[in-house]
Amino acid sequence: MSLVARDLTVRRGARTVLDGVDLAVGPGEFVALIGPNGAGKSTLLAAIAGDLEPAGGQILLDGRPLEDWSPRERARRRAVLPQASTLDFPFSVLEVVAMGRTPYGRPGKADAAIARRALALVGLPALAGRPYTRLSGGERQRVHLARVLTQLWDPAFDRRGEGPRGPAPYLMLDEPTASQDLGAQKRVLETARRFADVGGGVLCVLHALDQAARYADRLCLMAGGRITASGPPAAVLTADALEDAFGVPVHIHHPPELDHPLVTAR
Amino acid sequence: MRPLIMFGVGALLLALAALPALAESKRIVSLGGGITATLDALGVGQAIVAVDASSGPPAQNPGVARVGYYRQLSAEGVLALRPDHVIGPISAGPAAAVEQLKASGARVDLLPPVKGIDAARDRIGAIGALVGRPAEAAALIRDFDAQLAEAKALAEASGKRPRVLFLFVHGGASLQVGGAGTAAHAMITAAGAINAGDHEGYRPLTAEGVVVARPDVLLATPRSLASVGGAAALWKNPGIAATPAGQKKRLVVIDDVRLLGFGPETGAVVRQLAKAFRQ
Amino acid sequence: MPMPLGRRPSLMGVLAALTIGAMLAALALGAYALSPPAVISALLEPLGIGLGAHTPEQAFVLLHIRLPRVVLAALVGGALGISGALSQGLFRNPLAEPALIGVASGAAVGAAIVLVFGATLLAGAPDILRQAALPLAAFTGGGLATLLVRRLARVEGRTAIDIMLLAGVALNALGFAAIGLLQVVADDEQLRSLTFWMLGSLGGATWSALAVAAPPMLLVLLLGPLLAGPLDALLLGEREAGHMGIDVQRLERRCVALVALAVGAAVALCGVIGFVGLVVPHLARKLGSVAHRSVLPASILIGAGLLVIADTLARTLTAPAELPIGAITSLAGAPFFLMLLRRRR
Repeated sequence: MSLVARDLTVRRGARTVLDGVDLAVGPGEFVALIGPNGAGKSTLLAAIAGDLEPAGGQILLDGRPLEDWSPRERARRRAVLPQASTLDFPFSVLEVVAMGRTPYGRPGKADAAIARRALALVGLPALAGRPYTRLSGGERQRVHLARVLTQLWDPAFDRRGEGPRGPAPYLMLDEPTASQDLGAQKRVLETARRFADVGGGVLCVLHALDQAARYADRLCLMAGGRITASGPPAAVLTADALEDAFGVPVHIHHPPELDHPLVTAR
Repeated sequence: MRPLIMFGVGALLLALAALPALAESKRIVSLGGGITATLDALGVGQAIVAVDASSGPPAQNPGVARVGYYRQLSAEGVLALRPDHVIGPISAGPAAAVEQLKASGARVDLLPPVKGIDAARDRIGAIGALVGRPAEAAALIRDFDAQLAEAKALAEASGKRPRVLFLFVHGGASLQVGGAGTAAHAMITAAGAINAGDHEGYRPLTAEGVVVARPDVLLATPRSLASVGGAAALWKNPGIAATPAGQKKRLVVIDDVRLLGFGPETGAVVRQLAKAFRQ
Repeated sequence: MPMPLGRRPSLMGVLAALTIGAMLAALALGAYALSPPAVISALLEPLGIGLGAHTPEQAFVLLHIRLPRVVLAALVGGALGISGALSQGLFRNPLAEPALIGVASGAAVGAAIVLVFGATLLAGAPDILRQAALPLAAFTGGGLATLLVRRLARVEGRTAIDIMLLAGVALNALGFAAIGLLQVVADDEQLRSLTFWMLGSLGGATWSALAVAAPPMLLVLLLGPLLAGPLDALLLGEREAGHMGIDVQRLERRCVALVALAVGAAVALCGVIGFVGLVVPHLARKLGSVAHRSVLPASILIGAGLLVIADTLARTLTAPAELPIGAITSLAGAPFFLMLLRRRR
């Protein structure tokens, strides 16, 4: 019961952008992919999502190769939030969120209720009736987060929004905090954390190391298309590892009022 | 026996006398320039309630309705005129509209295509029979034949067979030359001349093509001539300028329905051409 | 999803009422003068209600000329409307329109080839095949053109709008060129039919023609709206739709087949009628929701109503002659298209 990448290699032309990567996300686990620009974080996420044709290796969901799942079956177990979505038609926000119910056939009243709860979960309950095209970039991104939550609602939450109801679902997020203000960033990551707490698995690309350290159970530090360090935040966020990856000297602080480290460039 | 024969002959005569009356058409829709002109010449122009776009208006009834091009008829548009007789070429259409006209109960007579002088002559008789004017048709045909004979005599007397090139503007396109198989070809040949266009159908006029064709006379319709800017423009065409026709400025202009419509005047037109080509 | 829009059912009701109203008005209007009582009386007679307020000729004009034509206009309008909505959904672009992107030209070329060479190619073939050849060729031509434009215009999972429109220009030019070449070998009668194909007319409406053309169009009208959910998801992008469980390839095949079927059947019987597929889905979005569960059925109803109106104009403006309906729809639709182009910048 897990989402696993095994010896994954992706080439773009002659360049190897992912070089034999192994990664596993289990139920209840929040895994953050960190590293410098161009390290291959988004590529790894896309490859695990099945968007790229890998030159080698395998992706397994519950031990079954991803390509053996039917599109609909797969969509009920795994959702992907891209960095940005294009939608030029003025759907209402609630309609966009409810699109997440696509893998469940003809939508009904219950689906609308789920969409509303997901919208509340990302902190935008008041926007339900607004045209999507009028929202800011950050609001749009949270609407899509609500959409992918809606897509995995059944396996993730019971009727009160608490326990897992079936085999663990997996949420894949590509820089979900990129265009968010401070409060919204917190909301987004808390939502993802909650998803893991009720039994789902989260794989999330993050730029901010302190956010990764605060919300993730495990960090995977990437550089040059490989995972160079993997483990609990405290074990990965070492001065040596980060200096190697980012190419700049860093300070690692442990403020007593926080339970996670802060990283700054020196 | 004899009374019986007498009775039979009497009945036949009665029937013949009654036939025109039975066939008398009160409201005719006429399609095609030649057919409309023939109906007009037969003296039933008054009964024509509508003509197609290719017809000239009947002299006796100049204000008739127009039903558009005869291949693009509207069944309801034609029926709205409450015709009791629709006469046109076999190529009238669309097929669905013709079907609907027939199904409506109106009498629909579609005539075979006319591609030559003899067929034009025969069509006069056929139309005369359709509208119950056989005597008038016979008179027209006599005149037709007389005119053709005059044309022949004229041509033989002159001993000349001029080369004639027909210029025509086809639906806004460039100037076209009429070759074999065209109505103009039939008219030129009937007038004892040689069609200088030795290809099939219509072809665009090219400067070199005209030089090779070596026409003695050019033949054109007023509309075609106007569309190229008049005779003066024609003589400036470098190809035409190099031909005998261009050097002597020999041009015959004649109305397109008269020249190409194969109507009742066809004989007269042939005679007119035979004369004009040799002046 | 019958949720966020309480007004949706009533919108469809209003549109249906307007379309039926347009059809009734179209039945009452035409070159042949028919009073409303005569129309009602003639319409009710086949149902066994004899009012006796009409003559047999009036009944003939109404039941065998006008009625099949109005029904055909509604069917073709509905089919073109939903084809426009389906292609706009498939291309994820509101400018994708069957006639504009060359689909109708493809269908017309298919039809033209059968028209000119059919007699030679199909000599000795069974009657059924000869009758089906024209619609089949139009369908094939339309389908190939849709696939070609889609393949050309899809760059990394997105529709490149400029390529789509330019491909449409090229396909339309190719269609005109092919038909121009066919004109060289066509005889005079075929020539007229070819021109007719490029301008469009509903003059071919008879009950027997309807019996052939109606089933494929009805099929599209019934199946098209079932693609609403997947098409909504597709608007987010091909990858996103894939992540939401949509088999994008299969959706594409279905859309292409339905569009080619509708456009092929319409073109085979009525020629190219442009801009209906462009204008109608826009109106549908303006009047209702942008969600396909609203756009698809609304496009059917609006398309049907508008084409019935356009055909009534074509029949009556120059009566007893007739205008080509494609000229009327293009005259109204082209400025609309230019306005859309301008607004998108």
